[in-house]
Amino acid sequence: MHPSHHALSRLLDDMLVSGDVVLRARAENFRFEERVSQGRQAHYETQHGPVGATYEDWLESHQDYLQGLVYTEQPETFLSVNTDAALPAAVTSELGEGQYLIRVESLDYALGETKVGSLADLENILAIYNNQRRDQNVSAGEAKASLQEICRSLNHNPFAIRPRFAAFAQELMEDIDASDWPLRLRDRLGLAHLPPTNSCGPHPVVLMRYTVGEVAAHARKLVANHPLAVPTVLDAEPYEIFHPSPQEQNYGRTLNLAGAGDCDRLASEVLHLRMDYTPSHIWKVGAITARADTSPERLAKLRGDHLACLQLLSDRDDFGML
Amino acid sequence: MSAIPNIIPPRHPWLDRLAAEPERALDALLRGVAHLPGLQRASPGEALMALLGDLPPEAAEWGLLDRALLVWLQARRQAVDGLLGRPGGVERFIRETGEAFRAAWRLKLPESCAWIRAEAFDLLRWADGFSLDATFDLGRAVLTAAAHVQQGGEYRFLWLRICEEAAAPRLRHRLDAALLGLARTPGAQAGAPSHDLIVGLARWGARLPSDDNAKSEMVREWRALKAAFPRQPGFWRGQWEAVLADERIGAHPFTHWLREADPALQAPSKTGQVRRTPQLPKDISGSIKEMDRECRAQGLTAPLWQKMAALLSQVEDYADATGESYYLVTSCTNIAKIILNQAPGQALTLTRRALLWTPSDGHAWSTRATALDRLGRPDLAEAVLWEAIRRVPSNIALYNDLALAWVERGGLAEAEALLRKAAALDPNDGPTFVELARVLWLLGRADDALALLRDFLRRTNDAIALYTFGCLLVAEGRSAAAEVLEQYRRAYGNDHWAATLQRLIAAGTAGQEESRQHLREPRRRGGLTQGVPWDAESAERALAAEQAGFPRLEKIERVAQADLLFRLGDARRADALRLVDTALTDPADAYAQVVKGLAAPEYRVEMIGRTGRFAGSLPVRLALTPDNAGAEHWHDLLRRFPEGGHLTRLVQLARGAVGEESDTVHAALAAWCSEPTHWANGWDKHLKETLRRHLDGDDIPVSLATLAHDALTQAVDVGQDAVPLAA
Repeated sequence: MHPSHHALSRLLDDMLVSGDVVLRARAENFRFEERVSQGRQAHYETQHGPVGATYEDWLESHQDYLQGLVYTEQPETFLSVNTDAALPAAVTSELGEGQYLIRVESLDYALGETKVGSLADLENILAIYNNQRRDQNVSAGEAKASLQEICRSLNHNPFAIRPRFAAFAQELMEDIDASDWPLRLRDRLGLAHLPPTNSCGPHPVVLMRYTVGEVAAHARKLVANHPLAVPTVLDAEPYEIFHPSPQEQNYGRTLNLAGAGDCDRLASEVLHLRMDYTPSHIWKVGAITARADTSPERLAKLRGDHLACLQLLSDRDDFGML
Repeated sequence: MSAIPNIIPPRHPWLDRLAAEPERALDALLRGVAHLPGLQRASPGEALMALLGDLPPEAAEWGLLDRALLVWLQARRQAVDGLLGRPGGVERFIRETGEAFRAAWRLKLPESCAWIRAEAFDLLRWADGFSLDATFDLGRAVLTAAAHVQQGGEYRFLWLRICEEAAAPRLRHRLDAALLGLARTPGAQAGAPSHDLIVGLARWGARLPSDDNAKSEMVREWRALKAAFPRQPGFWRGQWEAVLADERIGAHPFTHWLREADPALQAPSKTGQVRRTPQLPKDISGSIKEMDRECRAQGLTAPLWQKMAALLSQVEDYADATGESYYLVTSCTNIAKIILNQAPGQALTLTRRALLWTPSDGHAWSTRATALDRLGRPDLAEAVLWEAIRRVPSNIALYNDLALAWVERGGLAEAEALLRKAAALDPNDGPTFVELARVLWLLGRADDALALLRDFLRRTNDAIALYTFGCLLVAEGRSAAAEVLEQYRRAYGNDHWAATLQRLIAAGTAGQEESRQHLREPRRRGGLTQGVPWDAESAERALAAEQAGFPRLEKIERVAQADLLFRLGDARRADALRLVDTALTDPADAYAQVVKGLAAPEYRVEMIGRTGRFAGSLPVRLALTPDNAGAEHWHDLLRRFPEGGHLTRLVQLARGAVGEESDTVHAALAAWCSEPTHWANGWDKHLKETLRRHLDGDDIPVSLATLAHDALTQAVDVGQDAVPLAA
């Protein structure tokens, strides 16, 4: 994606030669992006191009763009202007609709906003709801009501309106089944922004599971052009722990914080519309107990390896070449 | 908590920005435009936790963040308009500001938390304007913050009020915040669920509609509460027993829904498992009447006061156990009335206690004002009366009391307007017509005064009115006074009033002058009295509490006066505008917006496209509705504020809904009028009765426009409900 907006173009050029890995990565993402349609790009640049030539100006204008057109009830991510990034029809076909998507949500808000005060309590309630545990003082129905309260908190969070990143359960089963699934999924899905801290403790998370069909049904209600999209640089804030995928890929590919490893194991990621959770969507609860290493050196290596994998998988040596 | 065995992150560059320019750094972060490597896609709250969470408690950054956050929140409260014009509009404003409130309590920032704690009621009033739906509700963010920063029971009545309000589907999501607040109220037995959770749930349930959806919601909430606090069935049975046994509460089907859904609530409590259920005293009303007799005969003796206090304590225990405050409120106000002259301090305390439980009890407001008057604070009394009239515009005694105060200071036009409102509310109320006639006479409109009373006496037998009629005739030197005297004697005998009237007539010119003098004399509501010595301490305490709340009431008073002056016509319009514009120096003042919107059509036009900060306030939205609003506008309001459908339709009708629209509005309002009314909502009852008569085509003195006007000013949240009033 090569902007014609003068200030933005120059800014990206400057960032690409920066010694700061993060700035460079953010500019690279923009340049590597292949799925933003001309119309979407033109609107982005003419209506929301930075007013000045600084990086801060760009952050401001980009945020305005997101708030006005993406972090809304009907993000343009799922409108016809972004058809180029829509997932192949096969994914939302009758067969594809049975596939399970997963998403890791932070529970920090929900635990602070509901009567379920701790992760341990929630874990107990979930086990009762799933008939994995019995408690003479709490029935499955009562556990369900409690989980509904948790879901309300998740559903009503003002940030829940953003297009949601999700992955396919089948691809990640090994990690999901592991006892340290929160850490593994943190790495596989690039969730470095949910670290534990000394003040706040381990970061509580919940693993949600739902079908493509549920997402598609909701998208139909909102008259979206397509229910799922490959994430692009215009769908969220500039971020170094994100990497656009080449057009040849049917999905986005998450930047694995544990290292790219086997290129065939890069997780597919998609974006979908906001959808209300119900207790049946709650799969597991747990906590992220360690920080991810996102030091500049590590980040540079992760991105380099990730890019190499994308080139290999797409048979595109030119992808990511500036 | 043990340290997380983890990678030690290098110092984040944003912390250096915080150190160098705390306010700018935080502003950028909260607006989502700060450079945050590794955290750019985190919510601001999550980012702040990650950024500061590993710093030691003594690190300077905590203080810098705390102060910057406080400044940011204070600035947000003041400057709104420019922010609403950004892409993302009101939703963005709510999201950013809500995150700031969250950061304060989540990171336990002491200065910011202390500010939220101190300002919670005003913050909530302000945030209520930014309430679009369950997702974008700044009020919820404030309530959640209040739940986390409360230090004791200071918000108890706030939580209970929010429980009630959450019965409206639009505010359903706030029930979670209210129950969280009750669950987190410090002071309860460690780990044990507060009994107020049951009371809150009952208050919510008692206001739900009686349909299947409400039933599911009620049962679900009850189950969620049980899951959050696992206890044996007997424990819960004990908690619910008093609530379910109360006659008033039991009349609502929610009690049956609960029993039906939960076997634990079906069986009677066993000994040892029962929460001691407070019993109501027998024959409360009879006991209070007896106390009144005793007080008249022997004065307010210490034993009598002990008896009163014991009864009040018993009914308060009952209210605490059940949440049903009828007996407490009526006992407080009735006893306050009995002891007004001898213990005005205690009387004031009792009315404040009643209003804490039932903030719109007209009787309690009126008695509170009288007690303040008795304690030598007519200024406070008047401020109380203005708010009382706004809140309970159907209470005649309040208009009369306030009119007396205006007469005393020479505000005869204002007094006339107040009394005419009272007269329209009850065309048979003797004191109102007597005072109105006097005011007209003082205004130099003797013929109007005489005509008023003549007309009144044609439809009502009232000794004082007849006597006053005679006095007016004497004062005006009219010979008909003798006939009136005869009429009085025939109806009421040769009593003290008849003798006075006879003397005045017989005295000729001197009598005429005496009568004129008598009509000019101020009719105070009693003024300062000397109470029993032991009342001094409560008087001092209650007055100090009143004084603390006075600035708030004074602000309301100014706007209420402006409202009255606007109704007096062009002559006083400039004064009214001055008052309301002064109030609007705080543009978040919803009451002032409503009053100006109702009075000035040009203001409604001026405000088109500028009501973003009141997106969640139906009264403001209705008052600022331009005259040429189309059907779409009304439908939008009905959709957004389903719980206020009657208000929207009432305004629509008053503005002249026609044709098919008019039929729809009529039908919906008629249905609303037949809905039951809570005993504590006197205005609601009056509105339904009066509106019903309008819909039936009856000729009644209160116009539809006045009714709609009063309904809107009444519905504004001025931030007084649930403010701790108990002295």
